[in-house]
Amino acid sequence: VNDPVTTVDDTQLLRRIAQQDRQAFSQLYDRYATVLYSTILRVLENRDDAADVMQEVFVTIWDKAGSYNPNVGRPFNWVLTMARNKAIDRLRAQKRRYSFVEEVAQELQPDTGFYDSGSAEIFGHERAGLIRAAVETLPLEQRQAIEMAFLGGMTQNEISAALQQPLGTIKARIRRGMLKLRENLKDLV
Amino acid sequence: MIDERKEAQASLYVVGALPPEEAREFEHSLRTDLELQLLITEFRSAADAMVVSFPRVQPPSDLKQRILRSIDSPVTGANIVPLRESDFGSWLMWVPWALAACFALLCIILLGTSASLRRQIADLRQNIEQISAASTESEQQRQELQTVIQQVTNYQQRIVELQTQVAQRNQEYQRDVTRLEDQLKQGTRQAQAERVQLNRQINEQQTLIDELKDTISQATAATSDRFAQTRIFALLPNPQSNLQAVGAAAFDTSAQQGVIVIQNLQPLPASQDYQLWFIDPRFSSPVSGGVFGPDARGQARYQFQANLAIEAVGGFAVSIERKGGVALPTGDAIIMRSN
Repeated sequence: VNDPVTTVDDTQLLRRIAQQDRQAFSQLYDRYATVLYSTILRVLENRDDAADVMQEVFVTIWDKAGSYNPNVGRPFNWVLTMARNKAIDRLRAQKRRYSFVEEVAQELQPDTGFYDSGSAEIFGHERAGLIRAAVETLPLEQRQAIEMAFLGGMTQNEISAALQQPLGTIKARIRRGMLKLRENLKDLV
Repeated sequence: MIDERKEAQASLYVVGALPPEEAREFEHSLRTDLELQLLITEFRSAADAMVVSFPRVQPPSDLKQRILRSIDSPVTGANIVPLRESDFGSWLMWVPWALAACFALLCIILLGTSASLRRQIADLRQNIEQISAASTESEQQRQELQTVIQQVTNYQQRIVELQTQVAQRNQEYQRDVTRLEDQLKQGTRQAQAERVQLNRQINEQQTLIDELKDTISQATAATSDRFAQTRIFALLPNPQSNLQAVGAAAFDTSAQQGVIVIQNLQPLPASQDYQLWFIDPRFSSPVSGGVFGPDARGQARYQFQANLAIEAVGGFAVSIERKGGVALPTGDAIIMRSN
C-alpha cells in the first residue's frame, strides 16, 4: 500500500472514476474485488450478502469517487473502510454478531486455495506474503479482540461481554495487538 | 509523548471499539496532537493490512457485470444530458473544454499539494523520530539524575543520622562534663572548706603555740624573776634563847610573800602564838609577818604576806607573843636569820 506507484495509480483511477470513466472503474474493480469480497464475506459469512454489499460498495465508489481526499488516507484505506462499514451495517441489520476468524476459516473453503490472488494486486506477491506472516504472529486472543471490533463493529464493552473477560483485559489485548501489528508491519505498509 | 492510555485509546479508536462519547473526546484531542495523528495513521494502515491475512475468496464471476449494469442504470445516467447538433459552433461547445482545462490545472495543483504534503509528513516523521530520540536520551538522563538524586538523598539521610548521633554523643559528653565539673566544684569547695578549716586549725595551733611560747617565755621570765627576786634565809636559834628551833625562810620581794619552815618548836599555851617578824633597815622596828603554830611533831610551815612594802629584807625573827599577835615584839626572838 505504501508503493507510490500503486498509490498514485489508484488515486488517478479514482479521479478518472469521478469523471465517470468506466474503464478506470473496471480496473479498480479488478484490483480490489477479491480483497474486498474476502473481507466482506469474512464479516457476513454469506456469499449472497457479500455480493450485495460488494455491489453497494462499488456503486458508492462510482458515485462518490469525487469526494475522495488523498490527505485523509490512501485509496485502499478509503475503499476498505467503506466496504467494512457497509458489511458491518448489513450484519447489524440482520441482528447478527461477528464470528471469529478461526471458525470462518474452517467453514469457508477458499475458491482458489491460495492467498495471494487479490492481495497481490495491491501489495505485490512478496510483500503480501510478508504481511500475512506478520499478522499471523499475533496471539490468537489479541487477534480475536481486534477482529471483533474491526470487522464486527463491536465496542470494547460488547467484546468484554461476549468473551466474558474484564474490560481492562480487552483493552490491553487490543492495545498490545495493535502495537505488535504496527511493529511487525512497520516496513511493509 | 504518548502514554499507555493514549496508545490504548488510539488502538480502540482505529478498530472502532471506543464508545461514541469517548471517541468524540479522543477526536477532539486528536486535532491538535500531530504525534497522535501519526500513530493513528500507522495503526490504521496496520489494521487495513490485516485483511491480507484473510483467506482469499473470489467474488462471483457475474458480480462485475451486475455492478457495471447498475452504474449504467437510468438513475445513474439520468444526469447525463446529450449535446444537440445545433449547439455546436456556439460558445457553449467550449465550456467542457474549459472545464477540462480547469480540472487538469486543478489536478496539477493537487498533485503538487500532495507531494508537498508528503514531504511535510516525511519531515514531521523525521522530526518526531528526532524528538523521540531526544526524549529517550532525556529519559535516560532523567533516570541517571534520579539515581544521583537518590544517592544524594541517601547520603543526606546518612549525614542526618550521623549528625543526630554526634548530637547525642555531644549531649552525653556535655552531661558527663557537667557532672564532672559539678563533682570538681564540689570537691574544690570541700577542699577549700577543709583548707580553711585546716588554716583555722593551724592558726589556732599557731596561736596556741604562740600563747604557749608566751606562757613559756613568761613562765621562764617569771621563774627567773622569781628566783631572781627570791631570797632564802637560814634561821638559826638565838644563842640567848634556850630553844633549839631551826628553820629556813624564802621571800619573794616582788610578790611580797614568802614561806617559812621551822622544826623543833615547842608547843605553846593556848594564850600564846609564835609571831614572825621582818627585819627591814628602812623601818625602825620589826614588821609583823603574822602568827602561826607548830603541829604535833613540832614542825611549822607558814606562808605569809607582807602587810607593808618590804624592799630590802634583812632577816627574819620569830618570837613568842600573846594569842593573836602584837604590833611590836615584846618577847625575845627565839630564832633569827643567819647570814
